[in-house]
Amino acid sequence: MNLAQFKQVSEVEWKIAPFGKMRVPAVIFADQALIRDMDDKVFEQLTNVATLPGIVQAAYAMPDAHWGYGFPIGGVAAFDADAGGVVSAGGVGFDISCGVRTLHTGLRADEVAPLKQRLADRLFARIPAGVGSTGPLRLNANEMDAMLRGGARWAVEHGYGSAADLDRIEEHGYMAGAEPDQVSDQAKRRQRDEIGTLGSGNHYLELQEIVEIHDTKAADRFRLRVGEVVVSIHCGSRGLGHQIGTEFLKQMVIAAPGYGIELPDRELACAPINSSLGQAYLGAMRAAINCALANRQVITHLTRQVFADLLPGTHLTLIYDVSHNTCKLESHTVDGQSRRLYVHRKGATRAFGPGYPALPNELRDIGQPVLIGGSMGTASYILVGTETGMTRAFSSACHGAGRAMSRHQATRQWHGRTLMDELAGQGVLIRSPSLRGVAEEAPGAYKDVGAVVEAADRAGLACKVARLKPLVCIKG
Amino acid sequence: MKTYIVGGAVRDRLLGLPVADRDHVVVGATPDAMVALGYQPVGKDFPVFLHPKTHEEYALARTERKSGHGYKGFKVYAAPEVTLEEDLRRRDLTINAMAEDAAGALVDPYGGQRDLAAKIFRHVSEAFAEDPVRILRLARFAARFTDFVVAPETNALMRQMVDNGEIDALVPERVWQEIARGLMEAQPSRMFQVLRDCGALARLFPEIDRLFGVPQPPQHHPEIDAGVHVMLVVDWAARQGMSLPVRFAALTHDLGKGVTPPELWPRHHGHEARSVELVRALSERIRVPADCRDLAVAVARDHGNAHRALELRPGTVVELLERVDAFRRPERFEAFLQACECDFRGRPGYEDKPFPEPDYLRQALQAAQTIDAAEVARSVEPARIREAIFQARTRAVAASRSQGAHWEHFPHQADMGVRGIGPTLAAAFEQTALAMTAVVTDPSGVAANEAVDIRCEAPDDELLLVDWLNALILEMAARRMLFGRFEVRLDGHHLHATAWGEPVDLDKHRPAVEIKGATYTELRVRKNDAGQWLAQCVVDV
Repeated sequence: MNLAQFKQVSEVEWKIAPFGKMRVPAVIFADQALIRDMDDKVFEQLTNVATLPGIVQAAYAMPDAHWGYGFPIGGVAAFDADAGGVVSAGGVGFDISCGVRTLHTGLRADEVAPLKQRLADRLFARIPAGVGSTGPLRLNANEMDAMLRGGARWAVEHGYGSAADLDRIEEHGYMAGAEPDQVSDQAKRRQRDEIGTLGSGNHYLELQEIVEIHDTKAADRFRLRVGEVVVSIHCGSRGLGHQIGTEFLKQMVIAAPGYGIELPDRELACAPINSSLGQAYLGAMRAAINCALANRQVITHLTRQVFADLLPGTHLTLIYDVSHNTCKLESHTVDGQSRRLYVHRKGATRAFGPGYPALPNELRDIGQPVLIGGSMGTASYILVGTETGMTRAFSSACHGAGRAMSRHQATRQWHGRTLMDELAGQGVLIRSPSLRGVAEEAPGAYKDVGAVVEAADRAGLACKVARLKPLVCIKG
Repeated sequence: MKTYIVGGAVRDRLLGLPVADRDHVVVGATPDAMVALGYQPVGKDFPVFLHPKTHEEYALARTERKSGHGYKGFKVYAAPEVTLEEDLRRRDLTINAMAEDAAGALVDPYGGQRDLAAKIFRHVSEAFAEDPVRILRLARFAARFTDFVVAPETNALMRQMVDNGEIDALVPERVWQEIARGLMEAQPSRMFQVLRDCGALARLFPEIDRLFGVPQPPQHHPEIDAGVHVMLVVDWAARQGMSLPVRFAALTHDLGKGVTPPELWPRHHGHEARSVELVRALSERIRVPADCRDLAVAVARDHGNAHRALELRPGTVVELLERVDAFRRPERFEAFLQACECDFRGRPGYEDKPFPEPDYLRQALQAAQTIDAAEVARSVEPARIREAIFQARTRAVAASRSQGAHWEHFPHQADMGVRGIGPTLAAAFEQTALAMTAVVTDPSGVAANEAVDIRCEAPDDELLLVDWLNALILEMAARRMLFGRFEVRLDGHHLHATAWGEPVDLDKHRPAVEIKGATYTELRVRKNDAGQWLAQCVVDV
């Protein structure tokens, strides 16, 4: 992007003063190299977001921002319902509550090394991944509704994991205000046997080794030690979330003129929070959040079974579970006043700093773990929410690397089999049902996640704690 | 004895128009005198003779007196003492009641020249009322002399003739004769306007009269009024110099809209079938010749299908061709297409709009004609011949239809763009679906084992594309299937499609990625410069 269109506030903060129909400024957090490489569409989409009714303070983009649907991916925007604020299906995204959770294995990398192949094969066999896969359970109508209301708590009640897991999940494992009645039959039909499946695209399950600690205090509190192995799971609300996103996007596009909302881009379709359509979407979207939480919980259970089989006595404990495609009602201080705001995070991770009341007791004084997934074969990071972040972008940070090139380009540049061999040579075992999928997800097709995390850290959005290196990647 | 040129020849010469036929009036002669001069007597009712050399008509000056209803109920009085003025007085309009003597001097006792200059149709005398055919004639003149108006007193007189039932005495053949001539004039709508203004239309053609005031959907009919539409259509047909059957078909194609129950307005679902009934009844009533009737029935029945030709299944297209008898009577099919095009163009703003359907149907007929029916007949048992020919023709039409259709992917930073291109919107939608399957796997590797029915609708073409793809995504996900073949039918913004495919087989299909949803990003549905439809958007993977 052309840097001349910004006012540089700091080394990692760039501001666009309101112009045209923008109600608030737009702000991008990134270093000069990242912002220069960003797609011009980010500028366009972010300034479009700034025109939406009831937006508060500014439209924000994280360092990994790229061209999304209506909202840029890596976009954050908060709305005040009482000021005519809106909720946007495009502002949440199709894969509602897509997110990452990371678990301790308590194992050292050298303990895992001899079993790496077998773990890779067994995990690949156990965790349903890719097109057409089905999960371990098929839900009837009642169970579907119970799952949509109960989220991870529903899964735990059905024997998938333990109550201790719930404290380490945002919203304590289940999103209140979910309304299964607002979820269409089609969405439920699509989800009927997809609970406990990874999906495909950039979704994965990885075994990772902690290779570097940046913040020993936080690392201690999160019990992260160099040389130890963790498991990270990246996936979302599956077909149900996609269907809800699709259906409400259309409804909002059609209804927007009736609400007097002028859409600069149809993907930005939205409805007033205080409208029946807005409320219906929130009810359905929250149900989808629960679906994603239940999904990751069931996959966790399947992962634990594989470890229990191969390494009896291993206990996988949850470090944290974050969602990065959501709209949530939160308290934030704006101009010295505490306000209740509907915060959209589209490809952005919530990053509550120390003291935030919603954090579990044992983390409240240190801040929330912020899990940043890398791309296949590259590093991942664990960060921690900061006090400064709470005043920046409504406690939000980046969510991953972000693509640097299209899938199309990637398949021309890489060959799935060769890539897998190369990564195996670097000690990363890839298992995937699709070689083309592997090529499309080549590490080189993504931005350098290290640079993204560095920028987030320097911008004070969240603070680097540890770097993880992949050992095994089950790719959807 | 003195002869004069009278009537249309005098009028047309004064208007500076070419004179085709000259009628003459002879004053002061008897039939015997005429015969003695070598004139050949013709005509049963009037003393009319043909000139021995020029064969032009010479009528003895006469008066007529009404003796009953209709145009046959006249007493004719022809005698040497009947004057030219008396003869001219029995004529219908002042502009037709002028004479010219052998020296070229004009005799204009009733103000014909004045009315010609003022462009007014005015009756000569109350005797106008004695012959109801004059109403039709006047109406026909209005279609020819398009800038003439009817004098108010003449209109009042005609209305009186309608009110007192005189109009009902017209014989059917004569009605058709005048209407057919009027349809061949420059602006036939004026004929119907004159008939309507005096109330005659409701008596002669209630099925046409009823169309006025009936609304149609403005998105397809900016003129809204069904009567106005039909008038625009016949005028368009006249401007294009169409044949009488085409013009008659243009006039009658929408008769069914006049009997749509008002609570269903402005929609006219099924009006085609009602039109057919009414066209048949009307044709029967006024003895419309078979060629005009048959084309009108075909156009009434199938004009809607012709307009939707690009959206019809290949089999339905072949059925249409068979119904219109296109294989045996290609010239009738051509007239059918002409009438359908007049229907399309007879709407404000549609004069220059692209209307590719007739060409598509011509192309479909050409493709279907390549099937050698005799050869197909030899290859199957007798009971299956008809069906086999139909199937072969359908395949030929299907093949011609997908000509030039293809799909492609276009890059998007995080996801994938899918684009379909085809000769029709439906074909482009089919290709876009193939492009989407190709995001997951090679579509040619997906067997067409199971058919899935898909329906959706949306307010516009673009939203419909997204809906169509999302409906497929839902079926792919919920059924765990992949689809490799698609057939799309579009009716406005309603889509009805069949997708053929099979369950996902990891070893066989090696699916690369699951599709989450079709998006509005880079969403475009339009016709490109080459006249092909393009349908595209980005799918989230």
